[in-house]
Amino acid sequence: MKIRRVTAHAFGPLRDTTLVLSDGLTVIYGPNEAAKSTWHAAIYAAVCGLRRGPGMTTRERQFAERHRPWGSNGEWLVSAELRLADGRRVEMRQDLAQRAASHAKDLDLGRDLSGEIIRDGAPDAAVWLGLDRQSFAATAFVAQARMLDVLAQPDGLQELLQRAAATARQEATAAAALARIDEFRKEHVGTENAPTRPLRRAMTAVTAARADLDRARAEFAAYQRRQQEVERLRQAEATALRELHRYEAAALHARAATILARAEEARRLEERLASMSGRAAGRTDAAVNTEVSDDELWELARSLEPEENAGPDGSDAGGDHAVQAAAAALSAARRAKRRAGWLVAVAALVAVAGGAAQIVGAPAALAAGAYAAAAVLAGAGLVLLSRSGVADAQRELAAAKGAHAARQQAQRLVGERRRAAIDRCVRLGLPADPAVLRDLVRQRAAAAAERSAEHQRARDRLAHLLDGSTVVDLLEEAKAIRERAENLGFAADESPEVGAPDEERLAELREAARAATEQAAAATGALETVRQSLQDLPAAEERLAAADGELARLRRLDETLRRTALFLAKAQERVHRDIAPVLAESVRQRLPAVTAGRYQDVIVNPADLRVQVCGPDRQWRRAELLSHGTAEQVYLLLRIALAEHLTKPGELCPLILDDVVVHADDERAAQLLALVRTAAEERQIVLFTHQTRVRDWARAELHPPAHSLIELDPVPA
Amino acid sequence: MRLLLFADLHLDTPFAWAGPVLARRRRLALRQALERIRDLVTELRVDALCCAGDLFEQERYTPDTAAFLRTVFADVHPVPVLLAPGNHDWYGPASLYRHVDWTDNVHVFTEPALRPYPLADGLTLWGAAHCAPANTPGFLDDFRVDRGGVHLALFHGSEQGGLALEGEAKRPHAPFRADQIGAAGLHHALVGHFHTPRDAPDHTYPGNPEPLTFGETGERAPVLVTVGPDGSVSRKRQPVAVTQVSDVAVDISGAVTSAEVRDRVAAALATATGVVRATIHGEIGTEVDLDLADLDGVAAHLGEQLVLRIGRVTPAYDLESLAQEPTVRGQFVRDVLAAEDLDEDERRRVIVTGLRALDGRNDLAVL
Repeated sequence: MKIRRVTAHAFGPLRDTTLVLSDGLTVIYGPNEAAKSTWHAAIYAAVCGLRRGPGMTTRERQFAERHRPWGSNGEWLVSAELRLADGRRVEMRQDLAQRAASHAKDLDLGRDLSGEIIRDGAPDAAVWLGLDRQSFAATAFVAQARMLDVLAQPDGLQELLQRAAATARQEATAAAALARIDEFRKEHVGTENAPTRPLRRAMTAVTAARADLDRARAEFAAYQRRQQEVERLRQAEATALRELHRYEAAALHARAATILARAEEARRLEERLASMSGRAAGRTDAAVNTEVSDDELWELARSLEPEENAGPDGSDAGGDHAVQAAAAALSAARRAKRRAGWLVAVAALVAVAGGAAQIVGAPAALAAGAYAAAAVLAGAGLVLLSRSGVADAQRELAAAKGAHAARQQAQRLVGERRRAAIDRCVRLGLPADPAVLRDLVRQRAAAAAERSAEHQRARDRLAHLLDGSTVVDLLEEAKAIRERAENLGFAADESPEVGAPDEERLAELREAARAATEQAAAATGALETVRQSLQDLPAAEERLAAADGELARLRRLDETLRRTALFLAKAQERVHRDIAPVLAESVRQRLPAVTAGRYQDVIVNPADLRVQVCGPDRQWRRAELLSHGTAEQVYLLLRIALAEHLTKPGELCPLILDDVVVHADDERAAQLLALVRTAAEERQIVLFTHQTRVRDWARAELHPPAHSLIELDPVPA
Repeated sequence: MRLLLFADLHLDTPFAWAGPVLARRRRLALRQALERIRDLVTELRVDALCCAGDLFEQERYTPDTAAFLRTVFADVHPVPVLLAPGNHDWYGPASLYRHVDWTDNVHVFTEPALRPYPLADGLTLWGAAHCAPANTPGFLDDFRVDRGGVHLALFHGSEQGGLALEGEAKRPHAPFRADQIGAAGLHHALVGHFHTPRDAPDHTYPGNPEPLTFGETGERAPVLVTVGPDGSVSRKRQPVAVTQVSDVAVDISGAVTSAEVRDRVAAALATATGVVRATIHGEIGTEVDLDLADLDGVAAHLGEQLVLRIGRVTPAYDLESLAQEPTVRGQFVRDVLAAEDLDEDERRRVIVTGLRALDGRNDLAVL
């Protein structure tokens, strides 16, 4: 590549100014304030452009601050004309302000070549050299200050080569990169044995998280085992309770059955009593016509009974006799009355006789006798009179007659009744026999007595069964008991047959149930305690996953760093092995000439790119330790060699030198300039200088068109 | 007959991809989804609620889950709740299923063989349980219904034709072939295990009702299955997910600073809602030190519900050009690109790490 011309359309203090460069060596001379540094930067910007995109690195910001046009309207533009090794003429136009209008154009064909070399949004002609804008800066631009820096360091040349060998840039050597990786690995990963480093900490974290998880899982497993134990104990409790309840239910069902049986018997007794009461009321004895009551039977029997005073024909003989007797009594009374009358009359006569005797003076005894006889006679007559009872007899007779009449009336009635009774018996199918009827009545009475006794027995039994309650009460009680039994979970048909509850067995079952309940409750309580202390298992798993993730990340990072270091070390070894002889050969060709034969050979150590030179005595010396002038020469030779090596085959990288002889004495300066001119025979070199001795050398030694001298004027303030 | 089918809720599952707070929220969301399913039972007046397994995770359920499940299923009493344990909630001696005092509307299938449950006159649902966490044979192997009427099956199993769609991580628990359903005399199978929903002619996978991870596709929701007298079914999905989970790809291509990356991510997530996994990708400036810590709080409205990860983020190195350099860097790039023992991700990390180291940078923890 050759840079034919560079135009600063608007760049720093420069505006629409062009530098035309020779294909060989162009010395650009200018005093201070002649914008040499600006042109230096403009060449770089025109060839490589600036990275396009948001954000700005520090270096980019510094570049912009230094080289933005002064007081322009925002335009920041440079261009260059290049000739490539393949013959193409290319215009590089770098719109550094907008950057969108930058391009690389084939000046012969008019084609836009930007696509070939776009890097970070801007065309970068260094790409045609196999470099980029950064490595181009490191390879093509050589400043005196840089050279001094390099040579001032004990391993400056070595490092320069290493950096160039590493990236062709100035940032780092491969060794430094390896050291950085190693340091980073130690700091950000560490080893498994470094307790404060991330890897070990991550391993510890994983171990802790795994332990937490194991503990959580163990607790969970224990919880599950306890849960199973609780389940087992609950089942045992349920079994015990079931047994108890089964037994209790059976007892209850048995009790209910007993009560039901009592109720049933009581019900039947009640029905029977009711039935018995009904039969008694209706005389419904099976042995006797139920339509006839005992009284009626008894009346029938009495009606059928013959009248006691009635004759065989049913006449009232008794009545007749009574009348006759009364009549006879009346006759007798009447006779007695007449006899008494007679006596009284005799007595009166006697008394009169006595009176007469007395009058007559018959003896007093006579008169008294008369009188006594008269009194006795009168008394007897009175007695007879009083005893005659005529009136009574008359009344008796009347009464007898009345009774007779009444009896006769009664006899008629009895007869009628008897006939009616006979009719009734006939109708009832009963024998018209008062004895039979009375027997029936007696049978009935006996039956009634029997029924009464039976009734009483039934009532007594009923009272015993009911014991103060009722059948309904018993049924309700039985129902309630049965419900209690069923509430225990057992229907009557599910209960075993048990008689009276065996209290011992019941106590045994209750104790078993109580013990089972107690055990289950205790286990449940323990389970609850465990439950409350359970760790969040999913969270523990997530913590382990996170710790595993971090450890995996670190291991992956470790592996990446390890592999990177391996690849880098191998690459370094190989490149150094490749570059070392190339550099050595390149320097070897020119070294005797530039050192006037003082040094004839050079070796570059492939391991570390250390440069050693020797003279005819074959004493090898480190290049950095040679005289300053010789070291500068070796430095320049190495830079040329690096440019050759780093540039794509077929291309030549121009070199832009900035005051590289400023610290050299005249002799060394002459040697360096000679070296530069020699080098410029095959590649383009642009040498900036503010030294008049260099200008003068150029005036004397450089001849257009291959070489040229450009003298800059100070830029107006 | 209207059945509400769901499966693969995975109560108490860990969410390794989430932070502690989000993980707890996700587990809460799973419970809320089940509460929504419970509400659907009433709203849709279904005749039975069916779960085809993986209701919870036996290895890590919390005791609280037992009470929660009991309450939820008691709430729908007397509607039958039919539970067919899967490989995650397998029915064993320590099973949660055994230790819950279920209300009498809950029926848990407890045998590793299909057993009948009469849903209605002439309609039988056959259910089975996984009784181990693995190696459960197919429930339909050698199975044949033994009565007339319409027959449904409820179980947790792997339809072999669909296994490939579930990814390599899915194990073929209780495998079956679709043609075994009809051959067994079943009219339809209600199945769990595959999280990707499927309405096949003779079987239905409802899919997980609440998102379990990112990238889940298909309408995963409980299915209202209406069974006709002839055994035909019509299906309608009833979404219950309480959380929207979405993947957002954030292209940060061209960003050259960390601030710009943050701005890009913030802009991409400005309108995002729910649980969001943002995957950052793109070709960025080589100078960018991409660190997830720099993105903390980048979408404050999402809070803990944002999961950020670095996807294929490639610094814009021109590897082709670099590989042509006669430098250690060029050699390094060539060697790494040519290495056969590196996967692409590791290759990328090695190259970026090496180039950064050569550039003198210290941000060597390449994501």
